[in-house]
Amino acid sequence: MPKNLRVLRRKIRTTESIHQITRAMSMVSGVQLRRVQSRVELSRAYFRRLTEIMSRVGAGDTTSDHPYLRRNTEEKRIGLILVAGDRGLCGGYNAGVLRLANQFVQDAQVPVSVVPIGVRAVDYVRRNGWTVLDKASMLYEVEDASQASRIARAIMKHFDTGTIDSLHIIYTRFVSTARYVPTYEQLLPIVGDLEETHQAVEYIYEPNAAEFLHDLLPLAAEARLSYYLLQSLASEHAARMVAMTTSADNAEKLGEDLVRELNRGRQQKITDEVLEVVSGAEALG
Amino acid sequence: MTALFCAIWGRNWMNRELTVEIVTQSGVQYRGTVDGLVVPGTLGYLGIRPGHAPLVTGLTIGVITLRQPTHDLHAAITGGVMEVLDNHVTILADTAEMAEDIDIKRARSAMQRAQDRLIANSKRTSATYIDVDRARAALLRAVNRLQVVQKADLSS
Repeated sequence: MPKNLRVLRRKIRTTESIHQITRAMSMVSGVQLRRVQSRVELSRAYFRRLTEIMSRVGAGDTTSDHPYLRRNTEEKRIGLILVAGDRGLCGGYNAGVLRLANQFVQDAQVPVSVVPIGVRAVDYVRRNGWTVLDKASMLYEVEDASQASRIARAIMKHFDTGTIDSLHIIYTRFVSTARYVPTYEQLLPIVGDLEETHQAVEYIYEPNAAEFLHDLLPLAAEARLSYYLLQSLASEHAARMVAMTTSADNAEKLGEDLVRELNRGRQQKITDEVLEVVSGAEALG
Repeated sequence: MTALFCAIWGRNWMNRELTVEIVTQSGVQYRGTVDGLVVPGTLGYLGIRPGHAPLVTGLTIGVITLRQPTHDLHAAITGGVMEVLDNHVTILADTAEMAEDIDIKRARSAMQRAQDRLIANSKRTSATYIDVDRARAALLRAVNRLQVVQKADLSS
């Protein structure tokens, strides 16, 4: 019995420290989430207005042959940006995007070059032996928008030079603290935005339509990429916060059970000892 | 820089205001009504007055002037796009700073730093490589900021 009690005490100490660590991690993630979340909301204003302008411009102009709008070209190689986290302990966050990526690569008809973003994505790509498009634009920590636009430009250069014929992204869409969805979208050529049937506006293009699209389209692609990166980051923090809160709660419950068991064992031991003493005294008397 | 002013003046009987929004990826930098504005278009500066026809244009690095009855507001931007539609102007800027938010000391030191690097680069025959384009861009940005502050000081 005493050995058993010692084991129990050790278990209680361990669960206690796990409880503390996970509680601390969930709080840290909570703080980071709030910071990133506010940035997601701020950039949402920009993103929404850009989309509006894109759809109005697209509705009025159908003659453009800008490469970012090109359609129905034969694809020989496609690019995929894969956004995952740097660390684990965040529930199904990494697993979700990686599963989606795996499916995408397997379903693709043509070779895929991947741009992994985040340590987990880099590891996964290496483990699976996928082709990496551009080592230079791999990224570990996505912190500010300028970093995102720099990467966006580097990646889009591959599209401009024809290394890849289309560009796709797999990221995690941030819906709310409790909901984040692994999502796939096509970045280039730009689809969707421009096809929505908005009322066509007869714009004056300054200096002309082609030049304006030349300004607008890279900007739009960049904005989308940095918006998605930011959303992934928010999702990661949210996922970690939820996962860590759950495990902290579980550790707490487990700790309580163990303490109860310990107390019962200790009580049992005392009872046994008293019984021993009493029966010993009876035998003597 | 050759400035091209192409202000299309609103007629008196439709003397309405323009609502302006300057938005960057880090949020809405300015939102308000103005009598008119001047922006750095890709071909040069252009003015917008109430009643302007729908227009879209790319923007380059420069100074945005927002005309208001009492005083003008100034902002530094580094590029972006602008849409004018139904007396509503949306400016999507890569970066935008209102004059009062600009840190003069920081802009000065950034200018100095960029200048030093460019000068050091021109003296050196080869040796260390510096990103000339980046230094030039940094210099432009710093000068632009200082210009905005100067304009704001003059107009107030």
